[in-house]
Amino acid sequence: MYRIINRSVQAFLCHYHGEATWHAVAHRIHVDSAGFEPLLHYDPSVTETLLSITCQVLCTDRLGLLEDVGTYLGTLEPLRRLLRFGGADYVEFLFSLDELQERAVMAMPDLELPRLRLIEFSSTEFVVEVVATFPGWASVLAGLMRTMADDYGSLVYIDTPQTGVKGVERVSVLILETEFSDGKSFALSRPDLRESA
Amino acid sequence: MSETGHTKCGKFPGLGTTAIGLLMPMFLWVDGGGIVRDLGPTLEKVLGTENARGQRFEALFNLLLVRPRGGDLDRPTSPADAVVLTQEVLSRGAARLHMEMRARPGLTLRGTSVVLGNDDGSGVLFNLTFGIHMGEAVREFGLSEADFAASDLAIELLYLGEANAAVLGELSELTARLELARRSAVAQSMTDPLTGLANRRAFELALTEEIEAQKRGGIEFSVAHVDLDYFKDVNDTYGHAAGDQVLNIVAARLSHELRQTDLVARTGGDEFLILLRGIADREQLLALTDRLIARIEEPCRLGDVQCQISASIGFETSGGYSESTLPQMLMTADRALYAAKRSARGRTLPVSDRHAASLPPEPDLETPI
Repeated sequence: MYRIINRSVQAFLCHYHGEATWHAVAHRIHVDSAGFEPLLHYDPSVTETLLSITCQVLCTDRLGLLEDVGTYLGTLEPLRRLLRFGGADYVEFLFSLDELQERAVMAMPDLELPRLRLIEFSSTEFVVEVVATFPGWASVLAGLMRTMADDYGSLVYIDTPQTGVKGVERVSVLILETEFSDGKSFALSRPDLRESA
Repeated sequence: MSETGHTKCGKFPGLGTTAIGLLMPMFLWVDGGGIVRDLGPTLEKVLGTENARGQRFEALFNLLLVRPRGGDLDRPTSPADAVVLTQEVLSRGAARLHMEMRARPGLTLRGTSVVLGNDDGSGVLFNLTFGIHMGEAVREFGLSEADFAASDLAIELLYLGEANAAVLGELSELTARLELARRSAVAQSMTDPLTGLANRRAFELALTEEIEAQKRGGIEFSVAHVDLDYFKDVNDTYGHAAGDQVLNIVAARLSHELRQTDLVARTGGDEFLILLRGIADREQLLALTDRLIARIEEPCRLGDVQCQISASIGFETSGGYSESTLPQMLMTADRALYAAKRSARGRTLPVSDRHAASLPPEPDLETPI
């Protein structure tokens, strides 16, 4: 899973802070500025160094950075589309998180995503448990879930992730309004293919 | 539909077509008379007509391929054939069938059909899917999740298609980046980093190719070995940076004097090898090497100082050499070079220290091994 984080941080830096910032970080962590390959494996220590140097450069903390990265990931069209396949509305999307790991494996067998578990307290109150060896996954997820709420047009409140026993992290979601805005459009077939059809 | 009203082994209680439509949004019910009685909401959507009910099956559909239960695959080859096959399917059902909508030929629907009830009038029930044309159908008819039963793998299929496309996209980008890296590594392994000329490896590869070409009836060629004179003085007096500058100047001058078809390589500190394609005439070579030496002897300006060097050149022509005696060819050029250098030792005028020499190959090298 480290390569996904590496690549995401790189893309996030380039997108919001400019190539120069990325080059500065790459230089400091002794990584070629061409950066990380999402299909290659990296040592976890590289990720830790990447995160701490990025935090220094951006003057932010680890969890804040990870949440911003998650928010950014949700804006990437291919990823947001794959997540939208999870369900017709935000609640269905939340339930689809339960099988996100299996879905990812279906696409890429050696992609190591954390296991997610949805706990339903009421029809509007949920908690997503994240079981991962990488501390901070829940923050990435919280950012991603925020962007997806906008995508579905739902108004939700997502609390700052909490770390529980045995390193299990929890993200709690309160759904205030499912159809708050129009959200972004989603059709089963890809827009680029629709135009050429 | 058969209305039994109670559950018996192997029989359902009555199901309305609405319920059937929820289970199988692409069902089609054709009665014993060949008339469409009802159909699922998704099939109705793609047929594009609300008047499908009451129409004849063959007015809406065209059978392409049928496997009757317990029979062999059958493909209608004539209109008469098609009529017989349609009759067969409508009376007995089919284990597997491919058909198309007359309104939309080319988009094959795949499915299976079973006979309903016990009396001949109930007809057959089809369950259809888009099969391989799923993506096309979703695009063309703007289908959404609601158009598929939850048990249908359609959504997973579409999801997988997109996920695969994303992974493939990353993969082809990675391949492109690796290819670029490979090419630059190859270029680097063939290039002298200081002057940008070919290196020894590149030179030997080119030489081998040239020998092989000659064997197949290609043209003759020569190899010239250039060694700079007084270069060490420049290094000692002005430093290595100045020396590097001089090497670059010499490289540029050599490249400029030679033809595009020739190859210049820097093979050592102040040594260069030149492959001269199509030239094997001694007089011509002497004239050429004289010109090269004169060019090298032109003063080099390094900032506000000016220095002057010279060169000695030995050469050998390709006649009589083969791939296996290639090292000897280079050695002969080498010996010629040092003979040139030796003959210059007695001279006192450095500027006129220009010597090109060619030694005949040693007797044992005259005949290729």
